[in-house]
Amino acid sequence: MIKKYTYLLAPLLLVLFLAGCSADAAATGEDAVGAGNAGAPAAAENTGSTGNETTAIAGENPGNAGSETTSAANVDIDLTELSTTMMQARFHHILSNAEDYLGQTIRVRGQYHNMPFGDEYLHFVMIIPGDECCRMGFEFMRAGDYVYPDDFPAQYGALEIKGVLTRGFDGTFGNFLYLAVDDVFIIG
Amino acid sequence: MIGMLNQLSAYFQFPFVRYAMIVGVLIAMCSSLLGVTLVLKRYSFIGSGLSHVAFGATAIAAAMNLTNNVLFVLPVTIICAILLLRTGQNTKIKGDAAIAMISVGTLAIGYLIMNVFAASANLAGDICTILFGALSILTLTRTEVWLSLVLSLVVIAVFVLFYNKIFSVTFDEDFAAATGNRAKLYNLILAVIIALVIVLAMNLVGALLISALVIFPAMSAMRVFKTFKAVTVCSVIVSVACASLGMLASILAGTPVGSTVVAANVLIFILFCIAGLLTRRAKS
Amino acid sequence: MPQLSCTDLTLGYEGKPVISNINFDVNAGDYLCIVGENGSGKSTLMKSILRLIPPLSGQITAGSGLAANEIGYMPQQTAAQKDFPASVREVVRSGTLNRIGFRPFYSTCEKHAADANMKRLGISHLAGRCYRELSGGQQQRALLARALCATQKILLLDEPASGLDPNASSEMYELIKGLNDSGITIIMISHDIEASVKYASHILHIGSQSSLFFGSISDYRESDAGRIYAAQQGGTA
Repeated sequence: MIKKYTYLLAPLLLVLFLAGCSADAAATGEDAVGAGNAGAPAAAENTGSTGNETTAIAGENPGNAGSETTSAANVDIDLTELSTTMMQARFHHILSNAEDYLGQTIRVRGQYHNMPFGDEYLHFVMIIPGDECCRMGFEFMRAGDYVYPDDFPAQYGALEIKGVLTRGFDGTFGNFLYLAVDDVFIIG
Repeated sequence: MIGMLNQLSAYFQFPFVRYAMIVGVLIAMCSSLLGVTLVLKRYSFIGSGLSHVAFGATAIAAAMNLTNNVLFVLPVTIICAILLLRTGQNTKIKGDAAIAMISVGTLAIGYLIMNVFAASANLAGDICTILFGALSILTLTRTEVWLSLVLSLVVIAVFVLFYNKIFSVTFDEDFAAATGNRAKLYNLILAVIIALVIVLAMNLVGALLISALVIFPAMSAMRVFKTFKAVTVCSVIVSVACASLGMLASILAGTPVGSTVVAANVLIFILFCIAGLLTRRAKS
Repeated sequence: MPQLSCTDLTLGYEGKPVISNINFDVNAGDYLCIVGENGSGKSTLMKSILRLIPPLSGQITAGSGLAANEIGYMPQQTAAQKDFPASVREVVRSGTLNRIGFRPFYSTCEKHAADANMKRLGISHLAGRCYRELSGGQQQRALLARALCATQKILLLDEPASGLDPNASSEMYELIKGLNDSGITIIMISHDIEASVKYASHILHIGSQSSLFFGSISDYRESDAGRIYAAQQGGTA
């Protein structure tokens, strides 16, 4: 009797085990994000002010004349070390759960795009996978006196940036996310 | 090798990776169980046909701005599964023509609707995701994981409890009906769980590749094993192995998840073919 | 009270009759052979008796002692079945399905019944073998064993000796006769007029549109239909 029902018990046990794992997964996942968040409440309070487009983070000297890449120090989320698939998945998680990630420093490498917007330009770092269909990206802003096009890469050039995830507000777009960048390295 | 293991354990810190593995394994189990029946009933392409229906239904749900499109997609897919599997030998439209018509018709109409009622900013990305799976398995929410868990459990339970009946209607439906069994009811139950599995599996490999998840493990098992029970068990093991290894490989190497899982299935199929040839030669 | 009777039966597909005015009775223990040319509707008749195809008009009545799940059936094999990965044991056991109702698994009782029927037909040694690796005769025996698992009372067989060589054919007919002798009613479709006349107790001969003859073997030999058909086949009636 038991032998017959093992065929039902075995998958049932497997499913319960996996259910337990997924409950754990959720718990530890939330903890990990929470820990990252706890470290930067001060920074988060500084950002996201309404009506003000650019909220610069005072800190390291932006620009990196002479270094090979952006500094790996103080990075909470390093997307450059992940495989493409993982990077996209992580990216998607950040965008879907932005509240948990505000104030964290993100390092990302991708393709530079810009878009004219009135008198200014909007700058983006895009991640474009091989099949081109699932592209995603962050808008980023640099504090200080930076002039387009001199201090920015060529359109579609390779770019690596490090910045803090910030929420801004704009009359046209409403609430939007961007990276307040303190370190940019132009690869190509 | 150690580096890869280290990297994997780092990746497993992320909840979405763990969710992906859990749901992926369950989907692989369910689709391989159904695959044995479908292949032997000569309905291999029903996976493709139903997944295109699910795509069309998803398009309509998106156009209607439904928050949880599974509530719409699942009933529509179930109804189509019942209709398709009921077209037996005595209807005007034969089985394979019916599948082809519904399959390509819903694909075209779905794409048309998504373009006309462009409800999202990234239309190409959304369509790509639905058709190829893209990242859907790695971007599941907790609700989606629980839903997948429950649906998978239902499918597995139904398969185990109705195992002997499923064997009977797969081997000889006429005999089952003639000797006083409820063959029509069993076929109905089969149609419903096939629809469930298709809707689930779209998350892992996307609508275009679902047939692979259904067909390959069963075909691999049949190269080597000779009894229905052995074929079913082997099919499940092969499918789960290919899905897990495929997902791990795609996470490490940065390749698309769905295609990597299917590629793993193809590789295992070739290996099983060779094994089957060798065993047959050894016997004779 | 006949075990099965058909009255004024008209059968066909999509409203078009294939055969009409079929009348016959089968009593318990009878051995009825249904003969006729190809395409005359013999398989249609059998499927109607089994309620797989509804009749266009007329009635099929089962006697009070015969329930829907007490009928055994041995259909012709499909190409898909010949290539099916299943053991003989799995195939034969599936015949007991009509007894287990809502229970998911076979009990010892059903397994014993399957083993007994395999032994009765001399295929116990093939129980673990794969169905698709058997010879035609062995496969037919497995299907007959399966049919026996479904019934103690009545067996319907559709050309059980089709595709078999003469030796295997006569073995099959002997087996079936043995079953009939043990009390099981047999209704069999056959193209083999010689074997039918040799073993059966009654003949139903179906012509191109209607029944040509129904009755006992001795009456059949005397009838016009019987003589003509036998002459055509070259055998003695």
